[in-house]
Amino acid sequence: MKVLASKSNIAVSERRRNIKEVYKTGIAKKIIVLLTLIVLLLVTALSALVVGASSVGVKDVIKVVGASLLPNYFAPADALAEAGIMGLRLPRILLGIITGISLAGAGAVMQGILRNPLVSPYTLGMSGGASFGAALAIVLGSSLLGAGFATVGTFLVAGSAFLFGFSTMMLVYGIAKIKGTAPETLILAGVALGYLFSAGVSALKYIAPHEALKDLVIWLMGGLWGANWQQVGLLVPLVLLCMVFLMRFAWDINALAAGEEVAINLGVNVKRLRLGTLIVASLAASATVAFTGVIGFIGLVAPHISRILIGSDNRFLIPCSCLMGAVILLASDTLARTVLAPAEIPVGIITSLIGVPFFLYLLLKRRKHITMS
Amino acid sequence: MELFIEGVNFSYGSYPVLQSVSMEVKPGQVLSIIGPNGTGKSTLLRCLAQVLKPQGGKIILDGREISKINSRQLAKMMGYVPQAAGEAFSFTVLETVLMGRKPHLTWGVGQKDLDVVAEVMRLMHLEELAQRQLDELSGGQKQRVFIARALAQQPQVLLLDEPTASLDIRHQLEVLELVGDFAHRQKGQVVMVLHDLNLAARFSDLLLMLNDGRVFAAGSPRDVLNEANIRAVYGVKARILNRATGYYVIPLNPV
Amino acid sequence: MRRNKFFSIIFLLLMVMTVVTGCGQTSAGDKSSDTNSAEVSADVNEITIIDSLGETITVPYPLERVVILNSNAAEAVAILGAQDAVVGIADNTMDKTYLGLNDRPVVGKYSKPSYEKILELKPQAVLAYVKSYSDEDFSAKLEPLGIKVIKLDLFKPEAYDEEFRSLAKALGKEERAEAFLAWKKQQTDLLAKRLEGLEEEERVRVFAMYTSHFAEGNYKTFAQGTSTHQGIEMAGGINIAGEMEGYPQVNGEWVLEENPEIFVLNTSGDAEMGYDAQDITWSENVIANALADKVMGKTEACQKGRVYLIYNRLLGGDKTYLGAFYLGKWFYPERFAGIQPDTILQEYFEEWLGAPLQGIWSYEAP
Repeated sequence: MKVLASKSNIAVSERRRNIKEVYKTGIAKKIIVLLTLIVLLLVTALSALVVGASSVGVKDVIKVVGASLLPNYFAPADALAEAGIMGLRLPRILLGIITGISLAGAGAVMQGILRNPLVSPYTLGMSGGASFGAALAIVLGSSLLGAGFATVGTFLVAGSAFLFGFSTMMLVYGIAKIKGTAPETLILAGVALGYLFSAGVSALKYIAPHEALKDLVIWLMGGLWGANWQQVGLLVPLVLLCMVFLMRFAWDINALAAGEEVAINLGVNVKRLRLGTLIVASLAASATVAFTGVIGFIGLVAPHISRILIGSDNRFLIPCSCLMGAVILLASDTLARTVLAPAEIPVGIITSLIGVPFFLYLLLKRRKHITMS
Repeated sequence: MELFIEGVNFSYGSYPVLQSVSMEVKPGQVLSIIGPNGTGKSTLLRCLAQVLKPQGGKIILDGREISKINSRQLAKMMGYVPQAAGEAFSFTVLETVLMGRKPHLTWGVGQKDLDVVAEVMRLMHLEELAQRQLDELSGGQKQRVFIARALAQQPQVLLLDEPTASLDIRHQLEVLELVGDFAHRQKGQVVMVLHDLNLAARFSDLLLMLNDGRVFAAGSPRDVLNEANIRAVYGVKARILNRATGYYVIPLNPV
Repeated sequence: MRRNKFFSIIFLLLMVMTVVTGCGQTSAGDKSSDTNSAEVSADVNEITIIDSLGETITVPYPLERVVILNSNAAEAVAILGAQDAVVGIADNTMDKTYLGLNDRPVVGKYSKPSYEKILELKPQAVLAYVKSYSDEDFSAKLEPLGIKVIKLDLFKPEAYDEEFRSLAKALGKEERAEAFLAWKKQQTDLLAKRLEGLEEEERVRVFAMYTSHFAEGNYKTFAQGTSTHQGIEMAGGINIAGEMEGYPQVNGEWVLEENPEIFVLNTSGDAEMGYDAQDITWSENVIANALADKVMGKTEACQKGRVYLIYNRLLGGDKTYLGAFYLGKWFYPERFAGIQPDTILQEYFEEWLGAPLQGIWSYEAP
């Protein structure tokens, strides 16, 4: 009997070790995925740094970076290379990375807290709101401010886009809250407001003077060409702080995925979680969209690819989505500025060209990994 | 660690669902809530899980009113398995069970958490399934995973809403035996909603028979399940058989 | 059964009404075109002209009632001194306050006018662009109503003279047209003379942009097929984006490497520049922004202060040759010594439009 008991004890402890090992190898795999993505992002960023519409290449990059880091050892680079790399490529690469992080991270979190795989900053009406805000600022700003618009215009447009994008999300949430935060209500409210705003944008297009119309069309297409150090300096800390905040709630979002009742039983304050994370995710997404214009599909596609790669545990899913979004957007933007160089293609066209077929593929293949609640 | 309910009232708007419901469950006991559809069985369970807040009465666990216990603390005392709802995104079995450790951990998963999870998964015979996606499992396997998640909370009280719904008889017996073990061996309390009167009779120490939101009868299965009560509450004429293998209700015809 | 009967009666009534009104319409349409042709053959003249598509079109002669959807045509009508024939205009003509047409009824947006309003004005013809922004087919809507649609663009420098002659013919103003075209030729000859013998290596390399794109930090430029490109060529410059087409958005790095010698900004904002603009603060700001821009500021153009601002309508089509004088003077100050572009523009306004020259048409930092 004793022998038997100890034998079964050994078996138990072995099995226990087994589960631990399963857990640890699982985590190790996920960390490897994340590290691979970091390497991929670095490689993409480096390649993006050495290609462009001008002949500025690897040697110039080394010279410029060398001269700015170790001025004693490197001869000052020529002005063209310096302006091209430090003034144009680098801020644009950084803006691409931070925008990808922001949209994809926000998308992953929104999908999680609203328990709906079709949610993204785009589908919740935020892009529509931001577009309307930008359109309003462009059309009214240019006619009200006249001469002054040229100087304050960019900030006014960004500010208005942010304000409208952000408050649309809050409005969508508010509407849905009256009806009990059912995911369908949120989506429908987002879609309805999206239509309303797109009608508003059309109306503004109709009354816009010629000059303003051109601005508007460009803003609506979205792109990273306007990148500068000021934007990067503002967005990098803001977005990273938001993402760290969201990461802290990874377990709560996991619990919510199992159902609201389960989450409540696991000690999650579901209402506060939804409101808090939605505000922070919207803040990050609308702040970036305010500067870049509407860039579709990153917020939807990057989290889905990440789910397939790394699973649904938000502790890993959120950073994975961020990195994935950064890689996709940076690669798309690098293509956008080099494929037809010196002409540029709006990056939204490339992300949609990649995103739409992929999204349809996901819809067809969905059953296995993602199910609608 | 006794669980008391005293005069609990709950209504949706002006429609009363529960009216002064009282009961008591001691450690090591399994209590099943029975009664016809729409009598407030699941509502009572939700009130216990604090998913719903009762408008009147008290729910007391271990001498404390549970509405005053903070949610994280309460999560360590009560594990709740609602009726299977759709999962938004597919997690693995291991990840799902690990979620039960949520009230015990901050961000990282410690040795203790993994020990508990491993033990619970052993109890629920889930070790082979650890890496499977939840949506690849059968109904019975899923139910075991959800109970495992609740057990990983290391609760005193386990709340189950129709744990045998949509399971075949083998899995019904399996799940209820595991639940019974939790009460009898680990001296926990189990409160569950059950439809099947025979399963309720066999696996419960206590029955709470609800009718129109009120307690119609309470006590041991023998006391509660008699022909008169079944006729009054379900509107069904039934015969009760008392055999060596157990206590059986044979429904005959509606009256 | 009774209900069915009721509905069938209603249906029948509806059928009858449609047939009657439908016939009424067609017969009315027939009648009007009948009367038109009858009038033509009987007492009123008609004339055949060639439109911008090279197609012949027959219209009443001389045109006495026209609605204008094309603001370039409105300016041409004013040059011809035929303002009296204008019974209605579209929104775009209202910006041109110097044409003296602003008291005319407005039929709406030039690309989407109100057909009812046009009908109410009983014009003989509508002057329109070949292709409007909305791609609306005016002919399909208006011709059945007995209103001719004359498609004359009048904004392409190479086609302008012939289109202008066609319009003059329909309005019975041939003499005035020839006089104006002679003056115009005098100006283009002068331009050509000043650029005579311009060596390839002497030509300046130019980059041109709308001010609005510039404010966005987005280098969207003018390439082949735009009148700004034509203006640059007319003034002897090399457009660095000349190999591309339309309005390509180019990368800042490329602009840096191309390193243009001249930067031309233009705007179509009527509040900022043009006939009714008065305040040069905006223009000053644009130049200051250009000099401080992270890309343009580093080009030779900005380093040497060769940044210029010109009103888009002075390059856009019917006045390209006038704009080219400004560009020429900026590109080659020695070659254009003694020429005052403002004086030529003033002559155009006073002699041909009968309005004093005013407003801000170009700007260069002092």
